[in-house]
Amino acid sequence: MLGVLVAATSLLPLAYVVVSSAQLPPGEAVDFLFRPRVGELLWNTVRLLVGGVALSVVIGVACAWLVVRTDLPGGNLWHGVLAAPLAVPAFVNGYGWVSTTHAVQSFGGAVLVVSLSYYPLVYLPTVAALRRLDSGLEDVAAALGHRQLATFFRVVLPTISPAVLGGALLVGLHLLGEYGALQILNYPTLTTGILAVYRTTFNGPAATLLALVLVVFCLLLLVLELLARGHRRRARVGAGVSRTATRLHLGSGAWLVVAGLAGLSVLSLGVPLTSLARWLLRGTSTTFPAGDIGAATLTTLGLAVAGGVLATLAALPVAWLAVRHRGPLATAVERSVYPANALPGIVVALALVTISIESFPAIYQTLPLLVLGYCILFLPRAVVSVRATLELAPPVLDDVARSLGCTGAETARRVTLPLVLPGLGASMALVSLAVSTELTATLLLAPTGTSTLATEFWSRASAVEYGAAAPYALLLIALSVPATLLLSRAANRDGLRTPASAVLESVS
Amino acid sequence: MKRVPVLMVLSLVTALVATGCSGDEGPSIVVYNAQHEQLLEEIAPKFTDKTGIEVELRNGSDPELAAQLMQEGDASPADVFLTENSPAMSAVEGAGLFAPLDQAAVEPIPAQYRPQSGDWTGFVARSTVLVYNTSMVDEADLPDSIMDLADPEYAGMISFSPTGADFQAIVAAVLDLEGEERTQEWLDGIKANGTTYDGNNVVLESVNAGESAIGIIYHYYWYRDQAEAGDNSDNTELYFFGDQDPGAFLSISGAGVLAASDNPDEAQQFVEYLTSEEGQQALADSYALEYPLNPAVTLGPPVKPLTALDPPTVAISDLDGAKVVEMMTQAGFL
Amino acid sequence: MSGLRVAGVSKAFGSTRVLDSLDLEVTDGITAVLGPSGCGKTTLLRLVAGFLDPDAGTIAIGDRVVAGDGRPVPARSRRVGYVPQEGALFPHLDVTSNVGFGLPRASRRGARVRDVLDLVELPSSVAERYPHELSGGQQQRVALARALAPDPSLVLLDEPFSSLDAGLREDTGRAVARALRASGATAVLVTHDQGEALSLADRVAVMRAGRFLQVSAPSEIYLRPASPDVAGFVGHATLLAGTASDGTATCDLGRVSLLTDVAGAVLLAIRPEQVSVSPGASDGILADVLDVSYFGHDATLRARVCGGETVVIARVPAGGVPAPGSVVCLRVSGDVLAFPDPAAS
Repeated sequence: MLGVLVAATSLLPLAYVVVSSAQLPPGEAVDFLFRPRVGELLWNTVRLLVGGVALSVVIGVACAWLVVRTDLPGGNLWHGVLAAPLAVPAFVNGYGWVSTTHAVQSFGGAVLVVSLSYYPLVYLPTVAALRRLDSGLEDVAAALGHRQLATFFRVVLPTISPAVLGGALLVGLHLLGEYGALQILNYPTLTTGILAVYRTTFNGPAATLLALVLVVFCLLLLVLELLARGHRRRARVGAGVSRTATRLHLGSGAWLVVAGLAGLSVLSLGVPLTSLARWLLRGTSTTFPAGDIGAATLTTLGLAVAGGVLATLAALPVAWLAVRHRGPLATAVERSVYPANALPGIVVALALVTISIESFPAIYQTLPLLVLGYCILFLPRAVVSVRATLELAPPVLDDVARSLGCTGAETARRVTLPLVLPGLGASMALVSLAVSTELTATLLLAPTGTSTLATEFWSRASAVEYGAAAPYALLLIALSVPATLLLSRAANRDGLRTPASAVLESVS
Repeated sequence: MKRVPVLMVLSLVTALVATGCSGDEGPSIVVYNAQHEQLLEEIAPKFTDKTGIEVELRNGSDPELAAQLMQEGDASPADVFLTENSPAMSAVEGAGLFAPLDQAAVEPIPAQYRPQSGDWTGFVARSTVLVYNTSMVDEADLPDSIMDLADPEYAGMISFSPTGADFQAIVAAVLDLEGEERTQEWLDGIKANGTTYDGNNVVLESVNAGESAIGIIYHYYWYRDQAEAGDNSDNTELYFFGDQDPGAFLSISGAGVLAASDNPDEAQQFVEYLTSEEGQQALADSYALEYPLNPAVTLGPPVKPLTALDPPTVAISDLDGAKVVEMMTQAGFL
Repeated sequence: MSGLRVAGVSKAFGSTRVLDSLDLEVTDGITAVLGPSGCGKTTLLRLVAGFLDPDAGTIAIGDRVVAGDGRPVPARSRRVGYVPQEGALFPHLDVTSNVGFGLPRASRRGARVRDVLDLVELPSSVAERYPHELSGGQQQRVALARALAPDPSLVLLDEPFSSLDAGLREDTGRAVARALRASGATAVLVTHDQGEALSLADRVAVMRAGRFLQVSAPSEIYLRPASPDVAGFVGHATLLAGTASDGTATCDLGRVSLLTDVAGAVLLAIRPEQVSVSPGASDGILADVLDVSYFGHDATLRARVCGGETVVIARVPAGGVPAPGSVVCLRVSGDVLAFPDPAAS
């Protein structure tokens, strides 16, 4: 019941988009959609999607394989370095690049910068999948006369493909909704187009129509991923003994590989961080209004935690339905929260603005509405992670506890909660990471006088006050570090499935 | 494992502190501010010092906040609306959302800078200019009229920010002065010739970096950057159109009090302050470098004086923002 | 009086009838419920444990009716030990905490835990380990220790050894049986493995499609199956149609002498060890050897009677195993079980 309510709430923005699009005279809508400009935006979006996802997958999978399956010098150190770009929000990365060279304000540049930002979304689940992979499979392939490379493509890749596909889907959805980075890279896509139209006409019908196109894109992507994944089973079930894989000896090629990875890190971390440092040190517009920065930091922290807690709590009934009461309704409820994943923050925000003004004026421009917006935006993320976490506490454990004399409450306290709490914590961290760097919805929904690090950063960076933006960028990165650490550690754990690693897998 | 709850509790407390301690006593007003945030953050405290009235800013762009006001209607928490350009003011006025301004607020501003209705008033103005990269273009090669930028000879040379309200105000002036047909042609021409960016700062930076030779912006972006360190403008110079060319258009930033205001007296006081000699002087002394409109106050050098400009005569209430959006959509900018 | 009494219990899920008016009485010792997967044996176990409520019938544990008489007693109050498949140890607790889970708080880490670990023959060195650090067999023993710790009157085991490999299965099975007997608890063991059922249990209840076919001692089940179904399932007997009269019957394997006194159309249940095989053509029925499974101590072979469709399973000593494809001579020795042929009547 609660689950249905949550699902219905998360569908509100989508309903808003569809209903307000439907209210347009069809002729007008067709005229608006079938224009060269829309074609241009679509083309830009599609090629960015293809290029960005492809490059992210190549980088993510190659790095994961190097770290897990070779004797790479400094192996675990590299894992940290390779996961670290997750802590640099894409729009901060874009700012770092653009304020260094304008050459990235092109298709190639946009693909490069977004891939450098988002490849960890492929890398981390792939590392986790590779760690859990039964190396016996590779031994078998070797025994069947396959070389290492052939083994990788014919055995390893198909087995880890659900994780890779999941990561790719995530990258795709992020790219569809990305605003800040692409705006600063001056690369117009559907989402930046929607924002341009919104900013000109507020929530006029034109923007809603474009949003509808974007939503269709998102649904297509979900369906594609489902088709690609097919009915493939999980790599391994049960408590099989984890074997230590033999690592490929890189030999004299090691230094070449290290040089390659170092090059990647220079691009993904070096450029944005150096540029940030440069602006912090010499930026002419660098000012350190400590009071503003402090207030924005506190607000951001508070909103991040509130959003994380609330989204996770809201995800609980949905995930519970999906895990414990499998059936058409549960599937429908669970699936219905996913489209929100690809709705740009501004669509969610404007839906909430309209709905609140028309129906609930009391909560308009209040923090609860902003947090509700975060909840809707990041519910899909919370649901997958909470769901994976709940799967760690199968019903048979409840049975055992009850046969040993536990009441329902005791079972929850002594069995279910200890098993799921760390996972719920990880889920909150994931959502909080996303909330703390959320930009567009915040700009619209934040009450008067409330500004976050992201909005403060953006108002300066978009005015080309790179120096003034720098301290905020630094703090945004600092805030993202803990969640990134949590995820990168979870991915790197051998053997046992921990709640956090389950969260990672579920990301896929 | 134990760390998670501790962290959570800590952060929750932080959240409560962060969100709970913003309650203020005493008179205050909410200003929907589409002017530069930094400017109002400089001016509003001076008003507060003088009157004891606190000012809360909600920042956004012209059309965004205007549309928001129109959607909010009577429910709006706003007391005052400030814009960068006048079309948004006209739109809100057209929706009947303004309360008439007190005479004291409008009197100091010359009549051409405010609508006859008296529902709102201009308080600062900005001039359309070209910025050009001195190593790419000679001043002599720049056109006499902004209309010429649509000619093929400027192909690949110009840049501008069509999504911004600033540029849309310029288009509104062109529309008012040149008529719909010529304006649409002009839009198609500059679209073919130009690179688009988001934001005048970005246009300035791109011209400075040599990505395009000529940019269409407002004057103060260049002067402000020069006043700082010239990071984004040292390779460039400004070029003013004259002769009442549409390219010499002077865009008016407006201020008005909303009919839905819960604090009409304080709101009127705020607008009155903005147009008063004291407020205008504060605006002139600020980082903004926009032209004050109260004749008692002038902007010092190096900014080209208001009196030296030769802008076209445009009836401020005639600028049609909605039509401009339609035409720019038609041209494929939106 | 410890024990379990199930009377007239039925259970359906939707329109699928899983248990059909089932009766079972268990007084002491270990009772195995043996049946193929899907026959309803796990449902029976869950009804007894209290995880499900029966649609009809009563369940009594000891002298207490726990279901079927007013409100069902909840699982937590039935004092039933439960050992699920794969053990289902709590992954976040070490062995000691798992075993002590059902004990009062004060004794959770006390002597009782050590005692039951002794009972299931686990060394004290495992007490601090976590489930993922244990082998499958050890996990099962801990699961049993956990079930036994609160001293239940009845212990339910649901396919407890199915996830173990063969060698481990036998060892663990024997250890579990010893522990159960030592604890004095009555146990119901659900399994689809007849070797497990026959070797560990005092009584075996053969179940199929929601009903019991026979409930008897293991030797009785094997030697005196109550129906052709039981004979086929438990003894791997070859079922052959024949005609009986005067204590003998004729069938595809010639004339055989009967254990039971029936006449007319019959189904003969011939166990593998009753078929003797001699290589080369001599006295008996000729058959082609289809395949051979060699076990070391002996072997079984499948042979098809020459010129017919009948396939017979025979057990042969390790010494003289014929090669697949060769022709052998089959004879039935000893008395054979016969049932009136249900198809004929």
